[in-house]
Amino acid sequence: MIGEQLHTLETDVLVVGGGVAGCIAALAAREQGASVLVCDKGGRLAWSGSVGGGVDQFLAVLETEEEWDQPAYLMASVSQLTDGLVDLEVVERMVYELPRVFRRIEATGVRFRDKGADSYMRHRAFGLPGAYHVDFDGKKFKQTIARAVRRSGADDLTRCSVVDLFQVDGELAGALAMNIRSGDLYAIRAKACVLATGDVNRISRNVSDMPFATWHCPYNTGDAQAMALSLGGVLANMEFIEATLGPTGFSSQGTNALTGLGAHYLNRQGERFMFKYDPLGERARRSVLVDAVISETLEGNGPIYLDVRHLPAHELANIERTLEVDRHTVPGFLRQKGVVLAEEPIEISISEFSIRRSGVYFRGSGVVIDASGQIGIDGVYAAGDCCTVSAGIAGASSLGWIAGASAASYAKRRTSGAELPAARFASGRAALEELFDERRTTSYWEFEDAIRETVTRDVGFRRSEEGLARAREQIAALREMETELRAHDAHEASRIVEAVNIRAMAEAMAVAAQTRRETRGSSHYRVDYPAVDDAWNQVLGLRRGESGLERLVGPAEGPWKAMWGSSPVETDDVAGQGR
Amino acid sequence: MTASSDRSHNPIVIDDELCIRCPLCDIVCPGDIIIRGERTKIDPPVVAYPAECWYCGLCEQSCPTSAITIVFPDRMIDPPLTFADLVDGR
Ligand SMILES: Cc1cc2nc3c(=O)[nH]c(=O)nc-3n(C[C@H](O)[C@H](O)[C@H](O)COP(=O)(O)OP(=O)(O)OC[C@H]3O[C@@H](n4cnc5c(N)ncnc54)[C@H](O)[C@@H]3O)c2cc1C
Ligand code: SF4
Ligand code: SF4
Repeated sequence: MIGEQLHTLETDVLVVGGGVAGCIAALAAREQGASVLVCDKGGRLAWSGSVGGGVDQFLAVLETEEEWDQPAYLMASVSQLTDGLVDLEVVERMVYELPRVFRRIEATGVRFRDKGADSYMRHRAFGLPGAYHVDFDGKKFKQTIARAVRRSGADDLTRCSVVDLFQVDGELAGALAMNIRSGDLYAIRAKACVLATGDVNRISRNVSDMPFATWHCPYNTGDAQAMALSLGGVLANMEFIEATLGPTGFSSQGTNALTGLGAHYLNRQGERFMFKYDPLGERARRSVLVDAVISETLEGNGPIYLDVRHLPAHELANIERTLEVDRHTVPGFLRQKGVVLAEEPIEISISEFSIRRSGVYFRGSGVVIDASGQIGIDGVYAAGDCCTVSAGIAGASSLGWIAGASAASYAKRRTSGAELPAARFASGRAALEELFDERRTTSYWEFEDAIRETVTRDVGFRRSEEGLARAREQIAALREMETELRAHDAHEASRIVEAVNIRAMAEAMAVAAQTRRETRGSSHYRVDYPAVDDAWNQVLGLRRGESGLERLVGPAEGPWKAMWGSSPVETDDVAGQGR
Repeated sequence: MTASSDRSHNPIVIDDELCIRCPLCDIVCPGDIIIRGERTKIDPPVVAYPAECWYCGLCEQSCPTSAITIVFPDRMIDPPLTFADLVDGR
């Protein structure tokens, strides 16, 4: 059951989500002398979130003597890399902070270079204008930064999910958290908080129909995004989706590394089709690869295969290790499937999609922040894949650092924190207790399956006015089902909280996708508006209004914080502009 | 039955002879899928929410005695749907 134990805690800075962004935010806030509490769903910070199992590359600007290795040089390409839809002001702050943050992370004990080596292994990737990526053995990356968080004197509250945030007179008061196994509740008073719960998954189907066997972390469910909406924050870029290519049946990164080695993509006819789509062939940006495979498949040229048989023998000999770096379980999957990569092409397919960014670095989907990491609400900051600037672990680290430091100095300026609003806290608690009511009959998986079915069909890779209108109706109807959701234990209660957030994100996605009447690559493909429309060179934001979500627009290249106080627009206003 | 409620497949096979009840698998799992036995040092861990496994492999990698094998379900090895089915809304 829920709430048999109620614990009271107090901190200067509450970090919601102890992934990459959250851990680095905690370090920054501690360095400013603030007391810090990090709350995470996982069993231990050392293994929680997207990268508990390891990473292998870090986008770094190191200010070496190389011309390209300077923040200004990288910044000069950001606009082009993001097709002009990016909050330059925030990205600039993130990029300029990167060299310092990289060294700070290195000081925690992360080994970015091999033992004895005096330089970093760096390579060029993702269309960036220099060899920014540091390749390293990051198996223990998360363990190392989590240990540094512990050493810094920050407290952590693990296996606990933050379910609600509270404000008093426009200032943050604190949060309600729940242990997802014991059901113990925590009333946390905080002067400031950093939201860092990652991206939105479990929102669409994959070919195995396994909603948790996903490319990205299935336990990241848009919780911060949903809480930010409730507080009055703005979400942006929610129309964009991201998917990847993996061995058919297993949505996993794995095969990306093979593409880097020089693997070929073949269609059903055995044709190396990638050159039809990009002069770089298989070395094109990942989003281009995904777009091409989608098109080939829908044109009836699937299944698509990945062929590595032509690679040099020493690489073929190491291929299991190469695959394993990206996802530990991929070699085992191929073994069970009976595929020997060195001998035969392997069938690949498109994964489910999630809301994160849209296949590009520097743009994020989620909570709109300013260059200090603030979300437009006093005392509330955000970083990582839940906010509008995302660049893998590097972006999460740099913005995490900025947000953590900002939150700490805000907390220091506040003389005393507010008391938690008793009535709001009680109703948050009651809402959890009600999940156990025997009269409720719907399971969270039925509810989630219904969301995924609608989203996959009508808000997915191919979108139309008709489908989106239908989806909005169905997603709205699902909201009515929320009062029927039934939990039998704390774990199920926490899944219900996640499912409700997933539904809120699906609604945001459908509204945004319907509003943007144009096409932007495969991350937002409208069959009824199949071309880019210059009138839509704007960012699209969403805010909770009296009667549903309000739509906001802002300048394509930022600052997106301009949307915070702006008046809502009607869809037709936007479509009419510039014509 | 929907896919996510299909609890018939157990992805995490634990060799009871090898397991020393440490219980690292419970600690490392990011999704609260494996739960230590009621008497931690005596009872083997339980795969409590098999349908919610990420197949990340952290438990398998962390187990000090290699007692864990990850077994993929038939629907991943031989998927029931194609990408075109998903786009067409089948
Ligand atoms: C397998 C894998 C490999 C990757 N490899 C690389 C790589 O090599 N290089 C790179 O740059 N990027 C890589 N990425 C991408 C990178 O992991 C993400 O961009 C990055 O982790 C984002 O950091 P984050 O802190 O926003 O999210 P996460 O690191 O996922 O952290 C989010 C945390 O929030 C917690 N949480 C969620 N909701 C709540 C809640 N309500 N209450 C409390 N806690 C909550 C979660 O448990 C989780 O620990 C990889 C991703 C995956 C999945
Ligand atoms: S990690 Fe291995 S040895 Fe330890 S409890 Fe789990 S299965 Fe047993
Ligand atoms: S594979 Fe990952 S998600 Fe599944 S039980 Fe093991 S640690 Fe947990």
